[in-house]
Amino acid sequence: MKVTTATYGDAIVVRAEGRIDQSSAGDFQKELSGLVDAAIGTEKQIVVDLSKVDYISSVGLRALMVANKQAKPKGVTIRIASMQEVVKEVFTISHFDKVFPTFDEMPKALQAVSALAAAAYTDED
Amino acid sequence: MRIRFWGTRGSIPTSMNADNLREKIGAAVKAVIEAGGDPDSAIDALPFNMRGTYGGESSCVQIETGGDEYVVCDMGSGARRLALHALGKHGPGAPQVYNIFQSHVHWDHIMGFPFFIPAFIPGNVIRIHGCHDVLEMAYRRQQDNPSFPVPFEFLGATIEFVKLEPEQTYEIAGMTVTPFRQLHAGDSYGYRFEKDGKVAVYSTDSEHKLEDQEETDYFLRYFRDADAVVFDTMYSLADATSLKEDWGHSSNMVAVELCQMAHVKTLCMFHHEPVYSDAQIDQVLSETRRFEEISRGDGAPLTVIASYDGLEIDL
Repeated sequence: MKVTTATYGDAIVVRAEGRIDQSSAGDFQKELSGLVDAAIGTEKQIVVDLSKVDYISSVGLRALMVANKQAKPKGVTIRIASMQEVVKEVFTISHFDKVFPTFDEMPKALQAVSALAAAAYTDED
Repeated sequence: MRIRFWGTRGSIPTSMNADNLREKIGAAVKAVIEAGGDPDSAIDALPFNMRGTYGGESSCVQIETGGDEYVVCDMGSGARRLALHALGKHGPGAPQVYNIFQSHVHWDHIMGFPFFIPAFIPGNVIRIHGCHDVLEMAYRRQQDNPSFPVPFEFLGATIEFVKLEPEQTYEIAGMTVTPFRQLHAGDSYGYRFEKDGKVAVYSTDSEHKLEDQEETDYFLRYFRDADAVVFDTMYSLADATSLKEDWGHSSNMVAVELCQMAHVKTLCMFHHEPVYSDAQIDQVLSETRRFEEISRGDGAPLTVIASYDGLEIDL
């Protein structure tokens, strides 16, 4: 699994790639945790782009939940964008779709963060 | 080997009320009318939540091996029906031996014992096996004044408490039995039962996170190649990792992943959330089966069933 990040206005976008499972969830969690720490106390929000993730296991979802517990009380929202169909199904089965705001497309997720984030993404894309 | 489920709900017994039943009958009648044709066939074709019920008794599971002695996991409220079944089968005048294996002594797992009629009948032998030091105390205390009018000392059967050690293997009632420690407040214990090449695992009230490989490997040792694993699937993963984290129960997804890793043949979803309706349990079952397909990879298919009060499965 590979994780990259980009900033669009006040949105930090985390792009994961591959499978988030037993072997990669620890790294994913560390990465997310660091970004949440960086966002706390700023106006920044986090969007996790799962468009290149083909599978996420329970341990991968747990990593998202751990980050959410760290973020939410500090006013940082984690949004999920662009899930593949199978990952979307796993989100539904796990009820994580009831915990995280999810968006079919990245522009919509960024629009939910702010017009500034959406505009920055459009300019760069 | 046969597994009979006498109680499959978690935490507290529950039952349908009049509104729930009317809703169920209404949905079934509409569906049968819409289907037309032979009513019996139309009823058989209904989803389980319309033509049946998962029931509401708390944990009690019997393992039948063809031997003379009873083998029972936990004495939740389902034990009352087991008692009626046993008395109906043998009559009160034919003494029996009952081997109980206790996962832990939380109330929902012992509450059926004061209503377990064989305990009142002289000649019966009841051996309650478990790994907790407080096993006997918990059984006696729930019948102490003022909680129950019949004190433990009044029971006519010969009742013995047998302390087991986790990870040790025992020969009991013609079976090989191995208890193992689980993840629950105050500890709980699962049991691996083996006889004639068949393996059944009873594993309830355990919160698996699968984060620690060593911990996961410990459980895989006891689940390995089982024909059936009765597993606590009380919560959704979202609940098990947030609001209900550290409440001591697992999710349907973790159940599938563990059973796939251990090459289990059948996962029996168990310890159903008491607030769930029959339709909700059907929904969870359907989603769990789908998750099994998604997560299977190159492995063999895992059969997933949702246990219900009255279910019998042959291994």
